[in-house]
Amino acid sequence: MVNVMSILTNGLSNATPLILAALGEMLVERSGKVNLGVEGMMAVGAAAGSLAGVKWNSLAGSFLVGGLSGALLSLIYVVAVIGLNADQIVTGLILVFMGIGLSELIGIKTGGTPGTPLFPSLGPFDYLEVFSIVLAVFLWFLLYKTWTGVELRAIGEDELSALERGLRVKTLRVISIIVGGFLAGVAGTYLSDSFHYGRWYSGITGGMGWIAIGDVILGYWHPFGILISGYFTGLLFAMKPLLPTIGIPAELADALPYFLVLVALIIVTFIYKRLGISPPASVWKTIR
Amino acid sequence: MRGLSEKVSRRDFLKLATASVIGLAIGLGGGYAWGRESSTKTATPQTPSKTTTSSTTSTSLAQRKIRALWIYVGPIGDYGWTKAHDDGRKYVQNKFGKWLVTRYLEKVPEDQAYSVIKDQLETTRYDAVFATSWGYMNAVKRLAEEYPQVFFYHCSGPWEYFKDEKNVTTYFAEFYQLYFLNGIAGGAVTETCKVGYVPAFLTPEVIRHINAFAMGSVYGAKLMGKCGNGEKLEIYVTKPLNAWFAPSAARNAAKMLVDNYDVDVIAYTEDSTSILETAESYWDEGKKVYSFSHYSNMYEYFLKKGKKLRSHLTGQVANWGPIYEYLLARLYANDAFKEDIWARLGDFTPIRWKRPISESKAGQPEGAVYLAPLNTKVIPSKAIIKIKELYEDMRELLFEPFTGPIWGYRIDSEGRPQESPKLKVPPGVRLGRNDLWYINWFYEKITSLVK
Amino acid sequence: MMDKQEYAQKVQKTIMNVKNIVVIYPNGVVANKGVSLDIHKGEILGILGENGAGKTTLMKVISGRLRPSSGEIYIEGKKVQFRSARDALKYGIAMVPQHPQLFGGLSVLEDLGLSLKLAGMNISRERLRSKIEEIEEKYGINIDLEAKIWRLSMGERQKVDLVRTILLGKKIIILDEPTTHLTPMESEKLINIMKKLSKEGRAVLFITHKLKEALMASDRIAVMRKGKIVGIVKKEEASEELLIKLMFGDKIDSEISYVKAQKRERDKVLEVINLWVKGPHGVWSLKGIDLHVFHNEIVGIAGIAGNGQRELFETLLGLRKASKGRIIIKGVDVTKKAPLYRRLLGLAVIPEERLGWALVPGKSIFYNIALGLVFDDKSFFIDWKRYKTLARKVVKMFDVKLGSVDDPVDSLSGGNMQKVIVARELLRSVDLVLAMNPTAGLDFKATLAVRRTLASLRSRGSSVLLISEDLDELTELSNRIYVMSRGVIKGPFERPFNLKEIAKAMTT
Repeated sequence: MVNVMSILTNGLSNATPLILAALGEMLVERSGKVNLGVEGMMAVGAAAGSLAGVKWNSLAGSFLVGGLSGALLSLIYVVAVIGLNADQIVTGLILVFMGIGLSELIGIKTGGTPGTPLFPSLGPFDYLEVFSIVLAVFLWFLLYKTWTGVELRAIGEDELSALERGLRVKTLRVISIIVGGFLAGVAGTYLSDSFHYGRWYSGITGGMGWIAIGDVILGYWHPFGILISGYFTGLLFAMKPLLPTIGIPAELADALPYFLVLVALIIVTFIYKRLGISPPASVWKTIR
Repeated sequence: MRGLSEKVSRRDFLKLATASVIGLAIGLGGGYAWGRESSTKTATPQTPSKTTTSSTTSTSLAQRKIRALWIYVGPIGDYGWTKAHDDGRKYVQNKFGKWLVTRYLEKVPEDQAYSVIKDQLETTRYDAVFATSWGYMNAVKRLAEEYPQVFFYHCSGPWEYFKDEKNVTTYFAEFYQLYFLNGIAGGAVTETCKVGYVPAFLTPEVIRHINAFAMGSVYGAKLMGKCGNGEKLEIYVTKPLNAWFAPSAARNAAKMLVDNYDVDVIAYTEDSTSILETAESYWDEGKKVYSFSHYSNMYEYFLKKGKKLRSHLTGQVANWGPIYEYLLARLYANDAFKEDIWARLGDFTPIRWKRPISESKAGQPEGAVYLAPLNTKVIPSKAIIKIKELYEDMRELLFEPFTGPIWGYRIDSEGRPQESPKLKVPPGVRLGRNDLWYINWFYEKITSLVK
Repeated sequence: MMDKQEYAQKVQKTIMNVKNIVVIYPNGVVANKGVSLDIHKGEILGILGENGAGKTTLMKVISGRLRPSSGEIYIEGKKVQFRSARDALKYGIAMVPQHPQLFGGLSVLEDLGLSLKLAGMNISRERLRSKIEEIEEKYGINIDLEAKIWRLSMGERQKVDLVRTILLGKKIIILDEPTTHLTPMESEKLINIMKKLSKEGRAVLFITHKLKEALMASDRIAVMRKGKIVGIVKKEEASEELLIKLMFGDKIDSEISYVKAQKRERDKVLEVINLWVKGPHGVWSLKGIDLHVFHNEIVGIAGIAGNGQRELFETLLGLRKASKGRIIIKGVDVTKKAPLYRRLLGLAVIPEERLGWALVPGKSIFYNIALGLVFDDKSFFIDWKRYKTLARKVVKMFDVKLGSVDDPVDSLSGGNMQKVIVARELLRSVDLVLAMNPTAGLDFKATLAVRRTLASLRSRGSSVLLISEDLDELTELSNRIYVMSRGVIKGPFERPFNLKEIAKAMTT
């Protein structure tokens, strides 16, 4: 008894926060840095967005504040990593914990009250679902059809060459990181505003940020790739309760989405290697 | 049972909160005020928040004062388990303000409970300690031996564990009767003849709730003469969420029941409003899906927020206040003794006698556990009358859902059948306290969605 | 004294002149020691010199990639200062670096367009495409503009860089060892392109260490040695002999006889047979190497850096896999054996990188000495005391200047570090020492000490395979010398060495 249509639409709503956060992280990684703080920025976005929604009873305000809070948190990363040459991995992890902590601090103030009205739906889709797809198209255009996008990609490819050639390494990087933070914040707000009917709760992100980072790799740092990988993982989440009914061991069902992401990562990485495709070259390097 | 899963998340949270404070100090120059606020409110559970007593005029009477300490595993703002207990604390605070001083510690990790409580007992005199999480069991047992002058109250713990501790009382609010009544409402309204249940865990507590709900819905369908007199009613139980609090997973599970199994009544055990709201969201798409209140009157809660739920049938509500009232009154009267409280319908109410249906309080607050408002627009009046009748009967234990003959099959922790249905309760027999406390089988009509 | 007319002519002809350029790197290395050079319009100026002579440093200064410690740059008589490559680009100075620095994920068109945009030209993709195609046609260069850079071979990438410099280098085009990644055919083609470019009035600076190419292409050849320009030769006056003399200095004529007569035994300590090894980029770095080392001899391997010496060293040590061929140490085939096995056979190693390869930075001196001996230590517990006393003894023996053996090893000077390494390696019974540039960066005294140790090893009966870029060192120490060039071995050359022959072998 499988209602395919409902799984497909549920998949998209589950995928939307992943896609938003992953697109943001893609920008960061395209610029040659890795911000592991996605989970934290999402958590803050979820809490701050929910609080703003409660206070103002405005959906737009909720998303704006959620996004800005994520961007604000990413500023810490900017200061630490770009400004003070701190280790990007450690800084990212600190951001995660800070974000989750701040999320509790802010979120308690909402107390789990449903604030914003139920998320308006556009037929089978909602605004953010449509926005995430439009955003992917926009980012694709930006990265591949404008010189600024080419410059951003170049920075991510080879930082030293970029510096030597006089590209705007720092400027573009800082912008990418802040935009990445904003999108993660919006993704977090989506979790509370849409998933949970306008309500924040403790531990709301539940690893979504990490999955989003995985989706960046899975989508090969490409906006459309991320659309696909995000949708794939969203689908897995939507199908999770269905899995035991089709004979997949219940103990496995909870872990299966994560496991499948891992398997997909291994397969995709293998294919990339076979094809000779490599990630933006300076990603994961610690040259500063 | 509860708290078993909360253990991990809550403890992690404390670490995270601390990390955030540190992170703030490092990262944000302007974040100092925030960090400080968090340190008093969240990061230092060792400082109990004191609630000032309302009356200060009667001090000259030099009355005996009872000092009681509540230990919470979560934040009081969780709008769930901990808040319900804190509401109970406030209830007794208002009632006994003259002689009662209450304090509470929130977000106390279970593995630190012993030292945190001991700290308090060393510095301040307390007469009573209420430990509101299953995971505090060990701490309470040790402390009870070390502080024989203090009375300890453990919520949800098995009384056998504290057999030898004279100063430990166990207490719990039991819902299975209410779930049976929910089932009647569900069976009476279902149009698809399919109802579902989303469990958090398959602990005995939840299993008896599932069985009660399932039997109730068959009863309800039969009452209305639909679904082949209840014979053709299908009851689906999803895979347990494996968390008491999992809004996201609960939402997905509820959606699956509706989308793939055509279920239109969903009962659940999960500490959020997620499933009720999911049911409500289907009404926007023109689909009638019903659900219930859990632990608090969610209908009223949403009404206050300006939303009139269409999906709300009724539900199970707990009020810890009367239980605390009873326990503290005994303590104040120097009449406390070791007991095991398992609050059911009719307990902690002024009058235990059953009332005529017209005067039934089904759907109104009374006692420690009661029925959430009944949706009279949807539930047929025949069913309403039956619910009220049984509600009143249950108050006097004249009606008991778990009365034989009941057939069922044993399940494992994920709900997989372990045997073919067997006669679990012989005709005319009622299940006893321990049978219910350790129940491990599903009512035969239940279809487990875990294969 | 120049008369006025001549001066005016010269100024007109000169596009750029640099005066007294001094470059001191942060690590204290003086790469350019007061270089002055005039660059003329429409000429191909060859810059010839050994590795480390300062050619690339000078070019980086000219192309704005490096700011000199002192010195002046004039363009058409006007003094200028470059803060970055971008500044130099504005004056029409562009460079093809030795190793192409392109952005792997971009397409060729994107990579080129980015540079144009940086130079201040805002140009649409379509116009850029037609412009590039024009250049391709004019100079006979073929690149697929839509291809992603990472798919291109090194040679193709160089073409991209070449197109870029043609687009941007309106006045001066610099090519830094452009033939490194090219086949002889391609090299010839490149030289033709250079000639075309110079005919258009641009100055082409052509850096190379290959005599033949320099002679073939250049109008003038500036020879650099040890950070200085030691001579500028016009094409008409240039000859191989003259250039070799300039490149390598006086040592060409002086034969050093600091070798005792050696007894030669017929048994071989090391034998390498038809060794084929792939380098880091998957191209063949060693193409059928054959060599052998006898007892009691030092065998030198000469060659300009990057001709396969490193790969040979790593393969002999066991760090790099041989695709074909055999390595035999003391009659045992070790081709597929681990480094430890080879070491237990009596192989000692003095690598080029002291810290990281030979020594653990941050750890104490005695710890580092002990580390070289642990695989002989059969006991379960570490007897630190024993190692400490041993270390003290050794340090005294080799005259290492240090405070205490507990000091971190990186507090030592380069020379003393090398002494520690040599001492440690020789503590064990050693039959074959594998040394790579053992005296690079050492001062005169330390150099002498290391060389003496190697020589004394030979007199003790051990053998040494000495891979070095320093011809002096090789001729001074070696019994025989092989030359490596493009992954192929030439020689051996026997004593007395004919340096002309060796230098020729190195540069062809």
